[in-house]
Amino acid sequence: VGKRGVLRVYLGAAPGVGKTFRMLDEGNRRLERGTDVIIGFVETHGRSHTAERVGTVPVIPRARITYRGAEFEEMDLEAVLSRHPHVVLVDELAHTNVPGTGYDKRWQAVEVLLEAGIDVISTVNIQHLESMNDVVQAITGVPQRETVPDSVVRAAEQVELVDMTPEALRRRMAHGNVYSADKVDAALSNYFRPGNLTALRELALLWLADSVEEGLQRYREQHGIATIWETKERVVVALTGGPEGEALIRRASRIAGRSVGGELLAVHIARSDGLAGSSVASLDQQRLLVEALGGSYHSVIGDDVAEAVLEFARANNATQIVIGASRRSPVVAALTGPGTGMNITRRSGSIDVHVVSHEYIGKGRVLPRLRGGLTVRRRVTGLIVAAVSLGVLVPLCTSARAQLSLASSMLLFLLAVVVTALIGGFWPAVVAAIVASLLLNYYLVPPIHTLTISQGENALALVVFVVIAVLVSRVVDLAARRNVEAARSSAEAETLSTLAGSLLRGEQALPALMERVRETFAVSSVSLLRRESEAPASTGSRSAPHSASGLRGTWRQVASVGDDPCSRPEEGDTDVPIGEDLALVLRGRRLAAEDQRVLAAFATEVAVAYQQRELAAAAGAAAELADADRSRAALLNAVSHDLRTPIASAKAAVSSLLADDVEWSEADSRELLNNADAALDRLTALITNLLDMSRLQAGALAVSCRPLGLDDVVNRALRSIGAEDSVVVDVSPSLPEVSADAGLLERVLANIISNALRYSPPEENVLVSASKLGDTVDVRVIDRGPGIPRDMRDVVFEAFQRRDDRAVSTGSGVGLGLAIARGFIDAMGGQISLEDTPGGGLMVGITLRAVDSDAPHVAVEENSTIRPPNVDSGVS
Amino acid sequence: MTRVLLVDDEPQLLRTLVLVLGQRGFQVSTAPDARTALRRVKDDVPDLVVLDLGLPDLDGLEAIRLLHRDKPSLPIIVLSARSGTNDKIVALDLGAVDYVTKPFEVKDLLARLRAVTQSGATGPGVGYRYGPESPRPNGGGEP
Repeated sequence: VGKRGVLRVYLGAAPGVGKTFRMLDEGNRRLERGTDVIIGFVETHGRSHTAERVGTVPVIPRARITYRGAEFEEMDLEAVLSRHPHVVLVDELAHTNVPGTGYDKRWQAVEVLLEAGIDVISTVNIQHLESMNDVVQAITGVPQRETVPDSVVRAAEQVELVDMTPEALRRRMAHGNVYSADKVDAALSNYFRPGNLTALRELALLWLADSVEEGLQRYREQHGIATIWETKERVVVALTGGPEGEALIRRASRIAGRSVGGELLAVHIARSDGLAGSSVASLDQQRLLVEALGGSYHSVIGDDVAEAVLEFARANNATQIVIGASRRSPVVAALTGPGTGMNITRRSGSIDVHVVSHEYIGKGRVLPRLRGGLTVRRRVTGLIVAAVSLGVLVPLCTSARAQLSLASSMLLFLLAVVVTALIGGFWPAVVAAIVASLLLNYYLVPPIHTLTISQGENALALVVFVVIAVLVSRVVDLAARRNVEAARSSAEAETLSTLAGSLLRGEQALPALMERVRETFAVSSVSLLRRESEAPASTGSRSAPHSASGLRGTWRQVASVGDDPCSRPEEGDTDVPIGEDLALVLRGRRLAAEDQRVLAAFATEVAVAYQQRELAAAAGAAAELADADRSRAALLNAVSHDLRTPIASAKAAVSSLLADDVEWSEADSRELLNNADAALDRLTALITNLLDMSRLQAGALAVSCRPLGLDDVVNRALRSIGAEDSVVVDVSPSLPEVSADAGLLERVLANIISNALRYSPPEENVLVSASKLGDTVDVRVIDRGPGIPRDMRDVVFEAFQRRDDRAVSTGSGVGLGLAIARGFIDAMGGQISLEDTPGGGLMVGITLRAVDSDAPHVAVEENSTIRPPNVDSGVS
Repeated sequence: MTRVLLVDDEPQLLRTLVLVLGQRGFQVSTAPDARTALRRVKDDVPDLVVLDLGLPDLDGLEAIRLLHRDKPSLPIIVLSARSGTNDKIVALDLGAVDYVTKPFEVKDLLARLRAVTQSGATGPGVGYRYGPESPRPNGGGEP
């Protein structure tokens, strides 16, 4: 029949977001434009706002099909086909047809319509897409029986998301615009929890983003577009195998996580010469981390690391590259040219490059050591320089003896010694000077090839030579020492200034400070010990390190960082006493004397931080006590008030009866006695509640859970408050039994139902219903009263709270009802929650564990549960 | 007959006091909350109000303020389970003529009712009448 029709689908995250509404709007709009639009099938779910939207669009009467004795309505496909409009509106693509229509699923009928060249506008919820089936079930706990293959929806020419925030949808729900109060059951209210709705919305957004991306990909392929279009972030993190890798991976993962559906790719470039510059073990660990974060790990071989990273990134359509900041020092970088990071940044083109700083830059600084001004390496180098230069000078000067005077030769030798001193310091220079003087004497000073000196002048020159060499080398050595000292001082100053800064950081100051001590002195652990007993302290012996071991008294570790911390001062390698009862103990290496000075400054700060922490803890405890005191006073006040009220009634009645100045009639005395009796009942109830509350608070509640039939318990609860006639009960005896304590559950229900009756307007019914969801059973007490504002819902479960701040009311107690209910339900392993009744009011939900359902129960569930998705598109 | 309006959300107490005060010659009407009480007073001014402080819709202290805004000279006796000195001071400062703490002696309450109706605490325009059967133990001070 010529051209295939166009399919437009409104996709929603949940029932009630307004898909049908939007579909009808679109139908009306097209109708106004003069298009031939008809309604094939629209389900308004009794929502009046939606029904109004049908407007003037003609409706094809539904086909009536009788199946197993019941009559069902379906779209009349034949009628639509023979009418052959330009556009047809067909609700609920995923709907399952009643057997007898010729097609199992509505989407199959829609295919027929499209094939016939008719444009179709339809709706579908995200949970009905086949690929979402298991995810949605995991989120909502409700299995999806009605599904539509993703390909059907993906093949649609237009998919439009009908989006709504979970909050708005819940408000719509609370106003009763989605379902009426009597339709609400466990499955439905579970389905509409904010967490579920948020997850479903995210699924819908992701699914759509994915299919839009697919479309984009197709478009790019068709048009040969090779440049990258940023749709979602693909983040490549380059790893060296160094310790900073983990930080880079986490950072990259966060960047990827910022965009919906971002991808993380880690790449390690292995040199093709096989020279392993990295730790295999740490790469392995980083690979595991990448995978745990949902990314993929790649290893690429290439000589030019920068180029290899970029090639990999371009091949994978990366939008971002994350690399670590260079670990090389600026001097090395200047000498060896731009590093990998610099090269990647320069050549990245349209890909963003993040150079991430990490803790391995400049961390773990160790104070420079003071022993000797120069390193061993420099001294050896000095000796080598001396040997080489002297070795060159001897043949040079002997062969050119004719041209060179002895003085010039000596100056050349002196130069060699001074250079040695500059490089190797004092001792190599002294050695070089002595060797040089001997060589001069032997080869150049007449008589040659002897160690004797004929002229006194030459002897003087040689002596002066040695003295100058020694003096120069001495100066060089001193300068080097000063240099090291200056470096150390500045490091100390820096350490101490950061130390001062870290103290300002509040309660974390102590561990941070101790970690800094550990880093600064490069030890394996640092512990702060406190002496517990009041053993006499011999302060004199405590000033020197390692003397604390001589003291008696038990030490307790109050804070520690690092591995294997010490618990007694003598276990450590260094310990610093702080005042009388504290000691800072370091393990790992013996500290040199000059380090102890800085350590002492640290120790004082550690003590201050420790005292600060102790004071803060004491203040916190005091505040807690004051709080407890206040609430106890409030409790006492409330309790005494609530006890006085019924006592006043009873006493007034009884004392009036006893008064001898009045003669009461029979009826009047009866009335007075009844009043006293009722007041005493209230007093009893209040005291029972108080006892329950104190048992709950003391954790002394005896709970014996056993399988119970809910209908029995509900009936007993209603009888106990005399409310059999004022409550509508919808609790099926075929529900599975729940695991609960009969007495406690009855009390809870009685409490909640009487609450509901108290707040519900007299003309509205209170409804008690129960339904099964998964392996739990949900009881709801639904009233049409004023409800409880959202921000108050946690508060009302706390003891001694009452709605509207009613200090006193006719109720039986000081606002203990819901607190006790929650305490009891918790003790039975259940849950209690407050929700809005659709259309206004409060809905108290109690979730209890169902007793392992045997075969008949499963069958019951299959046949009787209302499935929320089907409420939108169901067979029922 | 002295007309008394009892405002309390305790049904048993209301019933008992209706009987007891009725026996002593008071004409008693009742209100379960502050709004009803305010409406009653607007329609038909009683000689005296006995007011509970813990009412379901309004705090009793606020109720005193509102009652006195409408009828500045209406005598109010507070009958409350709140026993704190502060509550008493605030209630009396707001213009209550007396404060009785629950639980109470019926005789005590009756004596205070009599004291108020006889002392002239009721202002001009409101007027008061003697309770015909009520004995007057103190006797004196009567015009």
